[in-house]
Amino acid sequence: MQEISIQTIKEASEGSMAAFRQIYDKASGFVYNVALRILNNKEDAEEVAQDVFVNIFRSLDKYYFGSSLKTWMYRITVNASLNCVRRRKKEINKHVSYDDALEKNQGLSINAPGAKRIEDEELVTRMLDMLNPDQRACIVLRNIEGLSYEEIAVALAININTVRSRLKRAREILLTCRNEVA
Amino acid sequence: MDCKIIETWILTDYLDGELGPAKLQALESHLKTCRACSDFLQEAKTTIVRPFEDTKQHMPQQEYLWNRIKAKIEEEPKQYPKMTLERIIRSFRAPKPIFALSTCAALILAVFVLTQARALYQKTYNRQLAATALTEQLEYFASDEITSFGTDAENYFL
Ligand SMILES: [Zn+2]
Repeated sequence: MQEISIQTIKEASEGSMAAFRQIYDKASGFVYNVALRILNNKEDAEEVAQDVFVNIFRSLDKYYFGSSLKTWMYRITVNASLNCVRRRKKEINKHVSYDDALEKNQGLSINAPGAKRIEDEELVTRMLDMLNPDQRACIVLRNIEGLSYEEIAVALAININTVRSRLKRAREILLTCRNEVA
Repeated sequence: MDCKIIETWILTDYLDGELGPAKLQALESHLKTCRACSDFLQEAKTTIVRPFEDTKQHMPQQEYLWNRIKAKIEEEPKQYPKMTLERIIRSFRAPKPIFALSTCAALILAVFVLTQARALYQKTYNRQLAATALTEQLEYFASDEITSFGTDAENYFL
């Protein structure tokens, strides 16, 4: 995300929709992308992205300029996405177990040579599907969004060791699923 | 070097470029002599790093989403957050000690001022009125604190 000037943030916090549109243009891509990766559903991701920006608009005057605006936005986005996951889970009252995920991912072919982008896309979706929402959020922020451990810790309000252990557990699961298939 | 430790480093800090120089050197020299660990590293790279490398960023339908956001903002105009006692108590759970401390200081000050105010009010007004003033004072002191300590604190009020 290119830098958003303090002036723009200030104007948006005072209610300027033109300034807020600039923030939206720069941030809507990653906000939507993170929500979509965590939720794996287009409509839910749109709803979350909408709520996130309304929330950001209303909270900008509480944003402190010393902290990273992007990390702050990641935090709001991940929180909203995880809340949405919990809501959905309650609604359908259905839990996909690790065994179910494993079964669903039979035939997962990570090493297929010359895999096309569409196949990669499908693969990433299935991999994320094997993880619990907390692990998924960590993997999305690290491997897709490229955040550092420290940034992830701030975005998820957890300490760095928790980031590390969630990533480790997530990757062990991904490796195990891969080995089951091989 | 224990292979189990090396595996853990590979799965976390090494793959993520977070390993410090000393550990990095230890890991690299271990890899030169341990076939199992270098195989593990290759597998980890292919299985859990590569698939994510070229994922494209999904974009929302920009104008459609913007219109939804704008509509929602206009439908419910911005409300400036009211500080309730519950929120002030909740803010004590903020991770930054400085924030908890300053809130604490503000509360003590507020209680002091309020005690004074209350004594004064009780002479002239009934208890009902004094209670209203108490809330107002609390709101005043609390909102003053929030603007001066932004950083992470704002997240607790979202
Ligand atoms: Zn080894």
